[in-house]
Amino acid sequence: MDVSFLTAHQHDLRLPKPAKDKALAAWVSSQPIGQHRPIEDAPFRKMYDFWFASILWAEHHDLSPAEGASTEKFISAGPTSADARLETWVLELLLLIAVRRLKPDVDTLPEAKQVFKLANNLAAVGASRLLDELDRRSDLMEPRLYTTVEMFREAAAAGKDLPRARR
Amino acid sequence: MIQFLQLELTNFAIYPKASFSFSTDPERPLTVIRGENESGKTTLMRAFLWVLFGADGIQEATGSAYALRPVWLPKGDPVETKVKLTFRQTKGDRTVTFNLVRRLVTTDGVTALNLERVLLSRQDSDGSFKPLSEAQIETLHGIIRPEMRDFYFLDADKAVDFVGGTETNHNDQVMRKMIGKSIRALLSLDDLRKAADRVDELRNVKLREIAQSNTGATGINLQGALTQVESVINKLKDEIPVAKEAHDVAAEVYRRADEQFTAMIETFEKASKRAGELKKFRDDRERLNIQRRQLMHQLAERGPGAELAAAMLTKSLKEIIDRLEPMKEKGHIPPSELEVIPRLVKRGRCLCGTAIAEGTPEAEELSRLLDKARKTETGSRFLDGVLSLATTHKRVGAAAVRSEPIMAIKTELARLDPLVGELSRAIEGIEKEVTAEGGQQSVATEVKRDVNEKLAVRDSRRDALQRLQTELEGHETSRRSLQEKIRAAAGHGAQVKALKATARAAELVCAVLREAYVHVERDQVAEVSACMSGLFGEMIGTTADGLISEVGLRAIGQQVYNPEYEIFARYQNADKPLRLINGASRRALAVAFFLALAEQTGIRVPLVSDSLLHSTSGEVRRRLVELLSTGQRAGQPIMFGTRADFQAPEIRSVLKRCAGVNYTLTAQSHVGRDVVRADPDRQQSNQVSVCRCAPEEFCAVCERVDDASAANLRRRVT
Repeated sequence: MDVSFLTAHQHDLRLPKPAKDKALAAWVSSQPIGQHRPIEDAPFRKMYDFWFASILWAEHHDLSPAEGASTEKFISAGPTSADARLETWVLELLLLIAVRRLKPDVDTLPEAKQVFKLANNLAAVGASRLLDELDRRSDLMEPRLYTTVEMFREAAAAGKDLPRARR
Repeated sequence: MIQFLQLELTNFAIYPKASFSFSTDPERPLTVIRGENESGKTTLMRAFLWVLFGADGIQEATGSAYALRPVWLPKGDPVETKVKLTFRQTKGDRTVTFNLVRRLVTTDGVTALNLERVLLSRQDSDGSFKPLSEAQIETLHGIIRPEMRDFYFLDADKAVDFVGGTETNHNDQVMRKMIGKSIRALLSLDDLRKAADRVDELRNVKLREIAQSNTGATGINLQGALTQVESVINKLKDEIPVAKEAHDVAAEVYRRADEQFTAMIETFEKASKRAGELKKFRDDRERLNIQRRQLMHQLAERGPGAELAAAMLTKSLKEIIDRLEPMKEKGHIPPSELEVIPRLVKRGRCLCGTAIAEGTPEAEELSRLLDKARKTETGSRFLDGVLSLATTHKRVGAAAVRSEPIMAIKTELARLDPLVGELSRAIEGIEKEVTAEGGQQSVATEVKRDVNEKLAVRDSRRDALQRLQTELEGHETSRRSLQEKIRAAAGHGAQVKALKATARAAELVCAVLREAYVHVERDQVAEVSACMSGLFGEMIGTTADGLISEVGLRAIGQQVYNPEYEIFARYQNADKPLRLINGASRRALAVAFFLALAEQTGIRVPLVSDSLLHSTSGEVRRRLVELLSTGQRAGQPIMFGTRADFQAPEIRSVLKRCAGVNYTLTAQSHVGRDVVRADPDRQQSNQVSVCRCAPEEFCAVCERVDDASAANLRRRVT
């Protein structure tokens, strides 16, 4: 299925500022200014990787999207060279999450705008939960990458058994 | 006493070969040799002088053989000229005979006389003559002294010189010089004077030795110098240990600094090796870190990657699938009517068999469904796609949970991490070392400079120590030298004392000798003078010059030692200048002088006189001949003269009484003039012939014109 329609136009990717700042300070490898942080210490290469991980976390835990949360754009996804290039599987999963959440039928297909809005709302609620979990798991013995990957791996393994959170 | 025995000439001037024997009869000691002018008298005298005195004997031909070379030989013909004199010396009762031979080969008249050969032989007891060495030849002149040459061989000119020369050519200086020489030679005063001079020279030698000794340091000076040197030595001996200690300290400081620097260098070298290790470790770590980063990135991609994400969304995907699959199953997604209905419509019959014709309600229903399906086709297909995606991702998620790529990555990371850790620790350790050493390298230059400075200090102190030690050695050498000199000076004092004593003694002896010399000379000269005056009076008699009251010798000038002497004549209590004395008297003065000297000194040597009777006549001549003919004063008289000199009867009377041997010389060049005939034995006309005729005789060789008719001559039968 061709999901390129999702980035046929620019769509802002947004996060709450505290979460974004904290992610940028501790968890994201790519830094806007200065040297990038090592991937083992900052397991999310880009901020949009963290944004997507937040969406996953929210969806995994069936969290309710944070409607009306105060967020700020950190980048946009779109067709231009300045836009973030989200991988196909990411767009596919965003679409799938939107389909699940929005329950479109044949007549009410979700638009790209809706998908990204839902995604931002899920990222807004998932980011802080994700950060909390990451902080909890972090220790000095292992690189953060290891703990992050392990966390996601456990989440994946328990994914089918994770009870749905209330909407 | 010396007596000439024989004179042999060979190729000498005008004598091709001639032999003369001389009288040794004490009763008739005179040898007369008569010859006219140019007959060879002077040449014969020259032969005597040459054989006895060599070139010095014939002063007018000094340096060349002109006077000796045979006159009849052409230039270039080599010829040997030889003169042999046989003479004897008597001392007490011992008599020894000598042969003196002098030879010279010439090719022309300019041959140097010093090319002559001299041979002196002495007759042994067996009668043979044994040659004497050249050194012994010199003793000949101790017997026949060259300075007495003028005393042995007196000719008319020499006699005149002894009295100052002729009337018109008078020179007192010549007289004084010749008289002084004769006096000192014959009176043996020269020996006395020479002895005094030798003693005086000895004294001067000792004084010089004393002076040289005194130019060295005295004992007191040496002791003072020794004290100074010892003081310096003691001071040096105190300084040297201090200098040595300073040197040793500096050497130790330098040694430690150098060791430290060497260790530093070794550390640097070790560090350079460690730097190699460090680089390797760093390279290894970098390589591992690259692997780790790659693995990390791979891990990061997987967490959450597509697989894990799908796995995390398993329930969501299941919901989607659960909702859409029925729709698919029902054919709503995608809408199956889109394919079936048109086919049915085309065929005109439904699957249930109902005819579907156009316009029928079924057909209209079908069209309506088809329109509806067409309207929802996009959505249907979308949802179909979503279902497909969900199915795919669910499957991927399930597989992700089961696959272990993450574990593999984590395992590999787990393997690499400790390796990287070890490398990092090793690197850190080495880096610490290198950092510390790198810090040290920055001070190495300073350390090296410090080491060099310490080395310079050590070397400087070593040089100072060596200087002190060298100086000490020098002063110790000086001390040994001074000690030696002091010891020598102690003995030297006695030596100087002895030298001074010798010099004083020499001075005294010299003074005695000189005083003796003065006295002896004065006394002897006075005696000679008195004798001379008597002889002169005896010779001159009552002639005009017989009024001269006194003649003699006297010293002139103020000089006491070695004064000059002159002959004087006093007339009427006043000196009569000698040049005013007539010729005969002057000759008589000279003869008186010689005879007085001979009488006073007791010397008995041949007196060869030539032409002394010239300018005399009568009684003066007779007395002169008498005095010269007897051996009492003249020793062995050999008188040369002309016929005229010996013609007077009174002269001949004396000659006849006193002459033991007679010779007449005849120049062959006179043949045809005065000489009646040539000698049949002659070889050349410019030669001389010799015969044994006495003055009152003539023979076939020497006959002259008018001889045969002369009353006072007789022919000698040969």
